Amino acid sequence: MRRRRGILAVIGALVLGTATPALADCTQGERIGGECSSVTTTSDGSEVTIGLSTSTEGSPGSAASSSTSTRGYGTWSPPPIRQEAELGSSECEVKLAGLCRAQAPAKPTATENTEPTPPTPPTHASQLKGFRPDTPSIAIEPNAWSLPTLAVNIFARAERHRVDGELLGWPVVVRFTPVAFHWNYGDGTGRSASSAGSSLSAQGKEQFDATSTSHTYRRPGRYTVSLQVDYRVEFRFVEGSFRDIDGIVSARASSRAIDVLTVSPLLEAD
Amino acid sequence: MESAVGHDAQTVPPVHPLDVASEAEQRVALYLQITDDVGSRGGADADAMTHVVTSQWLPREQAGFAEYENRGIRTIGRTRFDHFTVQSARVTAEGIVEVAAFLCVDSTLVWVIDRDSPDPPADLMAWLQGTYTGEPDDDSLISWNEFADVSGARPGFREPIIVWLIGNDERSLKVDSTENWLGAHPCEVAP
Repeated sequence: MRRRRGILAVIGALVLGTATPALADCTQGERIGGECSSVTTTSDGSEVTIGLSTSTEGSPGSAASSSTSTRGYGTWSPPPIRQEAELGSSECEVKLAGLCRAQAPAKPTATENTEPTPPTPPTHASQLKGFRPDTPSIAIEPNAWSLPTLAVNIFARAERHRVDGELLGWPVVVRFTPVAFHWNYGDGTGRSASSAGSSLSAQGKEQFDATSTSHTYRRPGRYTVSLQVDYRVEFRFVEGSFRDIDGIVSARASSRAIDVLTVSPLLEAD
Repeated sequence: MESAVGHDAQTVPPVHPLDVASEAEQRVALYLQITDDVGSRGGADADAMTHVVTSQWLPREQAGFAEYENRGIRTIGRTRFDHFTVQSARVTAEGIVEVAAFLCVDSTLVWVIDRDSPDPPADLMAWLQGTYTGEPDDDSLISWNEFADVSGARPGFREPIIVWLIGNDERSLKVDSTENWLGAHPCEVAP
């Protein structure tokens, strides 16, 4: 079982701004070898060709699009040394020594196209104000009570889900994926985690067993547990494929109270 | 001893990040270097990772490099990194030093090629190693592209990564896992 790494997410947020925790484990060898399947990419089935840059096939009538080598995150692109396009084609403007050295501008779209043009896709979650993720909830085992020094399993119920709607009259789908869970346990402590946690039964554990999301209260009393879930956002038109959108959308769960009971020793008569 | 950690943060003493940053950065650099070395051998002798990863994480490394062998691939070039930042450091209740560090790992000058590919041109290797000076001329570009064609070369990526290291003390830190950071990050543009 992986250890808890709440500190990182909290400090990471300080260092990196609106940071969210990392998700997938991969070795560096797997990343280089392309075996890190849990990393999302923004290119849809695009294929890396050769050279110092990656490239995707241009759609008919458009310039071959030079994509980035930052996997789904940014816009940095190393200088291309080769393009497949032939000189004179719509994709190659200058060809030297058998190599396409400069790309032609994109071919204009047909003017006779009278079909309405979809709106420009949003690039940041803040542009999707009309779309909100479902409200997450808090689960506590045992059910809202515990004893001092014993681990109480506190986990989130927040799944990846989609919300259908309209953007400027066009039917669109927004998909929310929980990526960070920010807990406040009501006793002055908190934690940020990348995992929602799960029930004891799902983990094959017994009551008061420690879990990756459990918490231990030190003293008796009533505490209020609160939770904020950060969601990664993807967007697509109904006919298109999902694409990542920058930014995070957060949703708060309804707070829950937990009673940490007092333990009274029982005296047994002789 | 290497063991999983699972105690409330408030119960264990913190370690000042500056006290471990240098050691952690050196260990990560060595981890990336040995990863490149094993990758250049097509995944052979993956046990070399033992020097830089924990026994818990070693099977992951071995499995990853086993895929290199299964797929018949190897790497050329050298991974670089920047923006190394220790984000948390503490001593666990078991006395284990645990360090989490963020960094931008740049594998754009690492090419994955077919294992049986011919040796790459020397100037290409210099370029991938970062020791090439000036701009490649057309002859070089042609030879590089010919090699890329023959070898099925695919470049790596530049990615934000979180590395977790643990050890009995800051001088014995080993990589215990690495994760892709999916939040905001400064890795979009190489420094």
